[in-house]
Amino acid sequence: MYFQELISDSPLYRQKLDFEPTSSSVNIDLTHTEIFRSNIENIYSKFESDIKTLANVIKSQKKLIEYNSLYNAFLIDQISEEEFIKESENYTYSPQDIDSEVLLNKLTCLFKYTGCEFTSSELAEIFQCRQENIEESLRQLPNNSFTVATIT
Amino acid sequence: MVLTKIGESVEGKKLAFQCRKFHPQRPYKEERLDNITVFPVKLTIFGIAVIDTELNPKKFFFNKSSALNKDDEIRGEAIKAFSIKPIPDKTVKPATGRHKANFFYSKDDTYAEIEISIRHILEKK
Repeated sequence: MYFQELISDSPLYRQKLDFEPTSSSVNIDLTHTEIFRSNIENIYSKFESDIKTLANVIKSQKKLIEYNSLYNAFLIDQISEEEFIKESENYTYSPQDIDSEVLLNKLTCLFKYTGCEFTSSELAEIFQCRQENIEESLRQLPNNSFTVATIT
Repeated sequence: MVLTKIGESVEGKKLAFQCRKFHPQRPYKEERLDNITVFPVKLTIFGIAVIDTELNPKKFFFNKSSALNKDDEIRGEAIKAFSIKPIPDKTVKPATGRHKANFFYSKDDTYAEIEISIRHILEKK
């Protein structure tokens, strides 16, 4: 009876059925789909910004690795300087101005999850922004973090 | 003149670099140079950048406080530099009795700046 009332109230439920062949009872757990979904969304939104930041870092590092391969090819004369300059256009970026608050969150996320040390020019390359932006945001980090962040 | 403080820089037509670790970085459009593409590199573990050939005319192109005279040099734990042409081949040869180091030259207008000073590292330790 209760089960029917629930169903008539809202058609979307997630159910979990436990059935033991040797038992005469069946356990049914019901969770409202909206509640289930909102819980998942809450977890996702909590980490969404961090995931985006780290995904961008991975993409940036992949590009750098590819560029280094190209540079090595140039150094060992596998490609000419003209070819190198032409190919390197694929890896060239235009530094953008990023709001210091936004950048501070990205930097905090990067330091928190990687524990790595970066120089400000490396950070500017990773986030494709001006080095002045990085330095401004680093100054806002708590004491000593700035030192740690700039030592290679 | 030997410069060793963070932010001190040199500019020249051709710079000679020395370091233990050499990191090419991705090229970018430098807004202060009318968005031309520059080829940056980073030198670490005791980097040195010396002016081998002065700019002609001898006038800064990037930072008005840069040293511009032949043989002016910067020394630092980390040095960032860029040139408007790709920095060509480098030669590895003994730098001291025990260690080898990278020696190489830039080809055209080049800027180099101390990113981390040696004193900074010593103070940290």
